[in-house]
Amino acid sequence: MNANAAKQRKERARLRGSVIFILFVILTGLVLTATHHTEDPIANMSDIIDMRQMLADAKQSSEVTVGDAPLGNDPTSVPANSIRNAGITWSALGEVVYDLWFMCAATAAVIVCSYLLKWLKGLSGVKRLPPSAVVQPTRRQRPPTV
Amino acid sequence: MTMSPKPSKAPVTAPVPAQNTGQVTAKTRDRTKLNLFLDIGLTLFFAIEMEVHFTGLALHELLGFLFAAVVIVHIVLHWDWVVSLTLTFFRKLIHESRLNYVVNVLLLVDTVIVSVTGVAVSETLGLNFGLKGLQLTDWQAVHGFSSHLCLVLTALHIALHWKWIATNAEKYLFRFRLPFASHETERESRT
Repeated sequence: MNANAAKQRKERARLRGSVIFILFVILTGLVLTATHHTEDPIANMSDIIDMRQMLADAKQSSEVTVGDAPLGNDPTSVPANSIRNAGITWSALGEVVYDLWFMCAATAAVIVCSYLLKWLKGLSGVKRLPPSAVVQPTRRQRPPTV
Repeated sequence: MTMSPKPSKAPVTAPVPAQNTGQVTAKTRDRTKLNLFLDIGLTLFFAIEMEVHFTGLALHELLGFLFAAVVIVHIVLHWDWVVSLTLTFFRKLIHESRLNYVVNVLLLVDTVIVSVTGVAVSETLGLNFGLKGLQLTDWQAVHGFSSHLCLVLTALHIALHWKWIATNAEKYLFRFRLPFASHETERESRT
């Protein structure tokens, strides 16, 4: 009885903590959106492919020279010359924070999904038996092989 | 007439290792602590490394080498987990850690691609691989694409380990109790 109560208390505490974390992620997301530090990495991946195609087309029509090609891990946004000799640019710190936020957001999404799955399992009444409750057939109980 | 006591039907079990009984050895504790701090450092390092505008190209390339080295240390420290899960992966068809394992393998492959393409397009380290024009642009595009994919996979990697992070962050990082740390942690911290 006590063990059950402690378990329920622990579950409630875990849920409370998860809600606080999710709210924190939402709030920081709003702050980052307000300060325009949102650069969707999934959208960026398709942008890079488009950019590569554009550069290839431009090269064929000789409109763009090679020196104008962007560098670094995001060839779509900044030309090479602007980052080549630069040191730490503190104004870009928001982008680092956004990357960290993105990881936190993914974690929050997984937490929400895990609670949803748990809830759905509860609705369907499916309960996993503990390993000790599963009876393993002994050698004597096994049906004879033909 | 006396009744002889019934023989006990309790199953005879093998001695349980210390780590399964909730008793954590000092060695395990130190290892977990090292893993946690290294993982936090690696996450921050990765976020900084992702933004070339923040560091500038020269520092980005230097940090890239250091990042690759830290990733190798990270894998070595989790080698036991890798080996045990690899064996389980091919033995059992349905397993909780299956998604975790797939994400980790994809992340490893992607990190290798990012590192190799990063070295190939390097400009400030004096490594000249003779890539020019569209060929260089291709490699840069692959580097950019795989690094953004790496961010998505890393986010998923961290998300799938959130219970481990929460549990150990409470033990080793924060003085106060995290409300969502697992029950096992309490038992471990008491012993």
